Amino acid sequence: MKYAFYVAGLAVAIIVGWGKGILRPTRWRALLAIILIAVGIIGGLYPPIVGTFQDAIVESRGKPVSINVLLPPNGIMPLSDSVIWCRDISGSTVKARMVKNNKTVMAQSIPQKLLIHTSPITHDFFDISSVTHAPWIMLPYIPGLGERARILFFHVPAAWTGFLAYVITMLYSLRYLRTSREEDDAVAVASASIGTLFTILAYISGAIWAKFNWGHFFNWDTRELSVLLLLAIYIAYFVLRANIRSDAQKRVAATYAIVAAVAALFLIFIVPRITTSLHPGSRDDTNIGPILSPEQDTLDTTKAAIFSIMLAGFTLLYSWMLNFVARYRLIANYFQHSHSKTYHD
Amino acid sequence: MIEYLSDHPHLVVLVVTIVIWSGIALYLWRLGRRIVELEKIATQRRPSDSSSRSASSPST
Repeated sequence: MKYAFYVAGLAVAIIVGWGKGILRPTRWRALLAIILIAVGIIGGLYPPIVGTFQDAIVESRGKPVSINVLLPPNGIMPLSDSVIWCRDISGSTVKARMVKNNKTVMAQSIPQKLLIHTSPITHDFFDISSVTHAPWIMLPYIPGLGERARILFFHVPAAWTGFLAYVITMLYSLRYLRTSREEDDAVAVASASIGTLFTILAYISGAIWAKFNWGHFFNWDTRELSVLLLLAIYIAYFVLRANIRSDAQKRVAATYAIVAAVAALFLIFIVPRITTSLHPGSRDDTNIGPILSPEQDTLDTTKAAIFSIMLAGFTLLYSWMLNFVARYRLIANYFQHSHSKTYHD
Repeated sequence: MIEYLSDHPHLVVLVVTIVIWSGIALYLWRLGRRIVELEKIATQRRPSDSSSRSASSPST
């Protein structure tokens, strides 16, 4: 099911983004990118993350936790004025004390959202925000991640767009070597610059997430190192491009871009999978990561749908940016040539 | 309202992210329009360029 979502999202993005040629300006590309990313942001940040009592037990080894637990309509039964019996949707039960704003509330007046304090002697956890009515959309709770699981909707599409941009750079560089058209060269350079921007965005978002999940911004992880190396390879490409004076030198830069994209493939998909890493899908992991794993329970359907919307949105945003950055390069080249011609005349 | 938002911090993040994305989208949209204007200037100049080039060309 999740693969169908990915394919549908990418198909829409590729048809709208590239259907009429990358250099042709179309409003649909921009409008759809804006709408899809806005929908993806709302879908990624609006739904509450809801778990079960079991998730809370796993999460709260020796420390208080605050997580949302979905309780069915008859999931709360008053045992006394302040003590209640709760059952979550998975069937687990706890005896608890309802607290709101640090005051014990009467079990009869159950608000839609409340804090449950269970006894620290009999249970491992004592702060649970329960949701008594099922919201129309919600995301599953992942022990160890909690709210931080939302990074999936921003970090991974940004990283994907970076890689896609480097592949497009390679394809247009190959085309430039074959045709020597100025347009192909402009698209290749524009794509490399946008790819680097998205790779940096993915890197920064990952570093901020790592600070809160792994303890440090930089953890000497294989993928962190391989992407850093990838960025260095493309910075070298821009240094090469900045010193180009002739068409022959442009062909050297195009050849470099082709080799760099092969290195990108190796550094993004192969190196982090054959070594041990903190990232999902590494050699010591049980599967190839939640996005690509064929196992059904690795990615919830709601998450897969929102992720696919963001994947399509980011791909369209890339094609929109590529369109006007490449056109800008062509106009800049034109004005530069006409200016130098007038000056020399 | 403030109490509701303090209970749902992810909604504050949602509002801030939407504001940032609106700003980026508006900026990119205006950038695209400026490039269209530059292209118009270039296409207006192009015929005169070619005519002056053909006029000054020794082959013609």
